[in-house]
Amino acid sequence: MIKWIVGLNGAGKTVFLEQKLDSYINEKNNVITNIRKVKYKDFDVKRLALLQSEEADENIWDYGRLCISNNTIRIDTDGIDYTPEFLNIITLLCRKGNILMLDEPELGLYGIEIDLLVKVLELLLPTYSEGYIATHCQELFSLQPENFYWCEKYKLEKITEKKLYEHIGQF
Amino acid sequence: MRILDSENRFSTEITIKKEWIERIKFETDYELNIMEQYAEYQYADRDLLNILKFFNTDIHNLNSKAWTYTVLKDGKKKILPINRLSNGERLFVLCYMADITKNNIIVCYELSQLAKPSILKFFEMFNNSDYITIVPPTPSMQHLYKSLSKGVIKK
Repeated sequence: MIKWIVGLNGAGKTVFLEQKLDSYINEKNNVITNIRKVKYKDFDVKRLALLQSEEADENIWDYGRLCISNNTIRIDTDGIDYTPEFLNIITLLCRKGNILMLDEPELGLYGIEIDLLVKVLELLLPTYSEGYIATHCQELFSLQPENFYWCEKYKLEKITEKKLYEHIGQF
Repeated sequence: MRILDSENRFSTEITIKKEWIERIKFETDYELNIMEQYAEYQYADRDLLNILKFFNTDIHNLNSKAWTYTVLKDGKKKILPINRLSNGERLFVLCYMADITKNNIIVCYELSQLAKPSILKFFEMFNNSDYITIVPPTPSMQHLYKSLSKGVIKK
């Protein structure tokens, strides 16, 4: 299950994640995270297989091919240059580890890449035992919209989707 | 404030400029130069503190000589370096310093991290600035920001 960590700017989302990360590290859990610069070596075979399946080729990569080069995922598709940020986050999502902890995974992604990230997460989320994603990206909220946690002063409170939009407002 | 099209984030003409701040981390020579100039400003600490309090009322001191700020957490004071501010806070701080010191900057990625109240505050503060250029990271943000800038969308 993924918990969406949401809140206004400067509310302490990243600080909360850092504290949570430390507690998981102390308990010797395998955490996949972009909060700190971590060197990962191995990929999770099951996750890679999901992203290399025929279904993914057709629905996500538009008949492109996902492959690994220099310990990083590459997507061979005609005419699309993915940003390094996108390839880095896809690579990270496929690493070995049971807990996912991401801070603003959409940072630096172009619009179409955010759409692809939603599709990738939809496939991969069931493979993590637990997860925390701090984000402002409303496109991602369509995944597991029952798990919003409002962060204020470094503490979380579970809120409904309706309450979330009351808090953050919409244009 | 100038708002460029979002595709400019891939333009060599833009990204080669020293004013292009790929990620606001207060570590490039250009950013450090702006900070150095800003520290000479009479109301440097007071003004930045007021901006930061918009985001986080726990911040209660800022030192532009040491570039640190103090937060009160669980009743204890903690002094942190300026680069520990959140993405949104860093964006506001750098834009304000650039505006005061009359240095041009071009910002992009941190804009995607602003919540609605912060976006409105950003326009309130910098819409009339001659020194801030933004490259919205996505086409939808580009349309939103251009509409806000022209007052098409009511705040």
